[in-house]
Amino acid sequence: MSTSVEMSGIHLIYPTQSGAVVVLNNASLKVPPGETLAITGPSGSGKTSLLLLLSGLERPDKGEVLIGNQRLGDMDSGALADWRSKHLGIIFQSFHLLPGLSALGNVSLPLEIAGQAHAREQAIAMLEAVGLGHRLQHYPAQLSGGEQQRVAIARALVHQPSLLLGDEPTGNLDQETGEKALSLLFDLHNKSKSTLVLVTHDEDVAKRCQHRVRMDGGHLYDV
Amino acid sequence: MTSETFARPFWMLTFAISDLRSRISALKVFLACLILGVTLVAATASLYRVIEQSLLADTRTLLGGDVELEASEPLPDNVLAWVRATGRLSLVRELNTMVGGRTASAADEAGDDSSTRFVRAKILIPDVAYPLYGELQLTPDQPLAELTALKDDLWGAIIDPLLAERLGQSIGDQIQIGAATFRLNGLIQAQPDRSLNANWRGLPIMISEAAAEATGLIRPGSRVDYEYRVQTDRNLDVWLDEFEQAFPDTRWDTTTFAERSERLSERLDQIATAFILIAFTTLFIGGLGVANSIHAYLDEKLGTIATLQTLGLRRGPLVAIYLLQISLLGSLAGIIGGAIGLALSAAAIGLAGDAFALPESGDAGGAGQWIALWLVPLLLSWLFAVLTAYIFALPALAKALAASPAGLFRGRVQAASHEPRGWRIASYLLLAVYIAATLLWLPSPQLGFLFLLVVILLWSLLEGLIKGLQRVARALEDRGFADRNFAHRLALANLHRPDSPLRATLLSLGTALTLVVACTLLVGTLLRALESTIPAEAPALILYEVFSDQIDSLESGLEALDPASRIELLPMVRGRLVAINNESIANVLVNNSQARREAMGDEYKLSYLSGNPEDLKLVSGSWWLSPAPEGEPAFMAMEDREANQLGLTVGDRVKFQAEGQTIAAEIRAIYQQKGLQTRFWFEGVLQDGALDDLIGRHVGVVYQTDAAAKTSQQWLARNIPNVITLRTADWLETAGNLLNKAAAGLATVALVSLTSSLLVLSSVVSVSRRRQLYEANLLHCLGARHQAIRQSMLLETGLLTLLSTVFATALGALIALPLASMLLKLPAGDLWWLGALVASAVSSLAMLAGLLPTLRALRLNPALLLREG
Repeated sequence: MSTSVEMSGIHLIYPTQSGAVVVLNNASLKVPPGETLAITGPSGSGKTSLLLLLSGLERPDKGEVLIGNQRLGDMDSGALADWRSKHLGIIFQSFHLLPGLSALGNVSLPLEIAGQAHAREQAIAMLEAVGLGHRLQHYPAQLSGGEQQRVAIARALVHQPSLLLGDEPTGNLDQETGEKALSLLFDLHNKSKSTLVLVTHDEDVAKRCQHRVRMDGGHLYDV
Repeated sequence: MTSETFARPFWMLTFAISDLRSRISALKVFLACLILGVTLVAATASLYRVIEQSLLADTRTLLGGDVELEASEPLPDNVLAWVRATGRLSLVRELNTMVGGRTASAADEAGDDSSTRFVRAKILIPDVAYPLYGELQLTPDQPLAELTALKDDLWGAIIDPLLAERLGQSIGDQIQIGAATFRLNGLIQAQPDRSLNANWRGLPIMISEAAAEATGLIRPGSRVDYEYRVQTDRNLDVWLDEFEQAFPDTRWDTTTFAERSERLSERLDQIATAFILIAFTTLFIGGLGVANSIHAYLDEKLGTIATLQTLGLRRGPLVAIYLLQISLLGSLAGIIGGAIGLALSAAAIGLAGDAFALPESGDAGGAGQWIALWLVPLLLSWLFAVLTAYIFALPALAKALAASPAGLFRGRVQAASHEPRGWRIASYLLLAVYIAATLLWLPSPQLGFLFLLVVILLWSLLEGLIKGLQRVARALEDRGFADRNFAHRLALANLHRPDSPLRATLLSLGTALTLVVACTLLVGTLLRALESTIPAEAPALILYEVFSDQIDSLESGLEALDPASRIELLPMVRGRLVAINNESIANVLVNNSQARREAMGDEYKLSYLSGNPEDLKLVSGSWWLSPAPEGEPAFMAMEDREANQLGLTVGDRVKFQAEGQTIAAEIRAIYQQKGLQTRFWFEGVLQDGALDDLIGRHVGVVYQTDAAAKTSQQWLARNIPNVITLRTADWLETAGNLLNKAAAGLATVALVSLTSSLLVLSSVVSVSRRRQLYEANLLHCLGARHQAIRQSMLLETGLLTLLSTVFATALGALIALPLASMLLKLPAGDLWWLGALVASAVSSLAMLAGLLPTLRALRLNPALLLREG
């Protein structure tokens, strides 16, 4: 399942004590269904803000975010939460696994939040798919960084989201482990056919995506 | 700067203080928990020392002599001659009676005493040698003989100030004792041998020997205690042996001051140990707060610790700095808590007035006493505060100091997952030192050791319970209980995940709630017993010491006053046990001189089974219906405590001696009294007819309204003054007052313990809050709605509340039920719901109080997760 991603005329301004900071200034982008987009740019350029807008966790001051035929600006907080539980998967740089839940518990979580049946079975299958079938009952603290990121990838994909967002998904891993995680992510993405948007500093990672944009000074530039 | 410079102690101290000051606010719970626990330890321990020194300073004075011989009749002349040959002798005769107070003007209105209040009192008739030890202080300061002499046709009496207050009398007023009217000539300011339970068992009045005759209260068969006090230079063990050899059939209760001192000290030690142990338990519960608080503090200090290491600070000085910080915190808490505890103790002693006056001592002795009573407890409080701080802080400190500074380069320094082996061994050693110091300090180390064993047992049970609960939670999670419901999953995972708050919650809230439940059950049981003592059918008036020849006039008099009244009288014969299974008691207990003397000196109150108003509960054997046969031992039922003490069972034969005759009986039943509700406390009941030849006195009950009982009481005091009366309503009021004081005491202990546990809980909640807020944001990111997140938090809290309540109810009942059954002889099992209700109310309030701020702080901002990476 895949979806198109479209942003048009986005303005995002953060008020700070020393005055307003313009993060996005009339920014627009479009990703066709099932394709991949990499967003690069210097620190503080607004890459993460862009992901927040795409996930409905932040609302633009102006402009429109359209995911498939869903206009995020029309949805209230509850509806956005429901939409995320069904259609969105996020992979964080620091993994953000729940320390109190085992690997299996963490991966089951999106399915349980969405109220889906057979959550455990699907989660086990997903963990086996990322090569962690032998680590089902391990807690995050008992896993290596690479294993934690694989659990995070499994959690992001287990409910077959139409849109997958990755925020520096290999940023906390060494090169070799990062490479493995990235290969896994792209393999799974190919199988799931979801639309993938990645924020990264790494040009090599960006090159693996079909589309690339660079953020600077609140503007988006096609690369 | 070189490492040598860093290692300088002064720098370490100043750095430790400034580093501590920067985050002292994070250690509020650390300090509060320690201060609270140490306050209790210092207060109980110093109070015990003062009471011990005051009571045990001179038990000779408290007993009135080196030896006391107690008898219910005058000692024979040959005995008196033997005793006089060994030292000085003094006799104090004692009898209980009702005393009525009336003002001088009311006395003129002959016969009208409707406003007179009658109070039970103990008449003391001392001889001229009294007191052998100590000093009797009177107001006005005149000799006893002068104040009690006959003047203007009125005998003088001096009374206890509390009795004067209860009677509403002051010096110059008149009081009625038996047939005589007395003028109240003085107050007893200090009585060296004042009974410790005088306030409950009858306050003292002193009159002269001649005045005692005028009261008409002493007549053949009257219950008078003859207390002979002996002052001797001889070794008391030798004295007792020689006395027993000289009078082998002794029937007198003999006590030496050393025995009295030993008994008093033993009882005092047990009570003090119980209180000190509660204080230590509070300190230990507070230790959990110390552990949580220091853990949170050191988490914030991980960066500092790593930075100091990267700057070249050696391990030794680094460890020293943080050990110094804990020492400083422990010392601060110890000194503040110790000072508050000692101030509370001093205030309590001040409130008790002269009751716990310390013995006089010279300047040097005074300084020594001051050090022993105040400075030593303060130093010990400090020591225990520092030790407690170290024991609970070391594991967290060890992990923090083992953190790798490499984390600085990876953005986050993390504490080690396990403390290094050396630190763990140091923790265990410190714990061993702590336990040894506590046991050594306790007045009764045996009781402390027993407590320690119980704690180890309970701790093991608790660990087993926690493991079991975690296994059940995991099994429920695995078996689909949490499927399609992430709130269930989070709540269950919260029970079995690493760092689960289950253990800390059960240990802190659960332990304090256990105390609350136990107190609730005990107080509830007592209150119910009081309530159930006043059913419509309960007698309004209890009568003691009714002579056989007074029965007719008593019955006709009371019936004339209240024709609706119903009087039931029961014989009461006092006898001494002389033989068991045809062997003399002296032979049976030949190897235990103290038990022998006690058994031979003890008087048994015997009566009949038929018409007995006491609700005797059969423990073993069976009751009988037939009257006593001629010439054969009568059937007898014996009270369980007496039977157990002497090892008597159904089928044993016993012999009693009363009024110069021997009663032979066969034990057919063992019974239990109803504790608080018992009025007469018979030690034995026999077949009808078995005591007929010996009956001289009766006890009885009068069924009538309380208003009529008041009139009956006044009529009896005026017309048959030797009869001691007790109105049920009065007794209930006194018992109610006592119970209220006991309940207030228990409530205070429970409240302090609860406060400590709430402090601990607040530290647990604060750690949980950070986790819950983080999880809430992540869940929202993953698509969970606000309401679902709130429900998940409520479920998590509700599950912990439920488990704490069940745990506390079960354990509280386990403690309270045997106590109620053994000490109060009252059933408490059916009140379990009350304990559960209180536990669930308190735990719900405590947990909700922790959760509500979390819910209020629940401003979901998942964007932070992305911003922070």
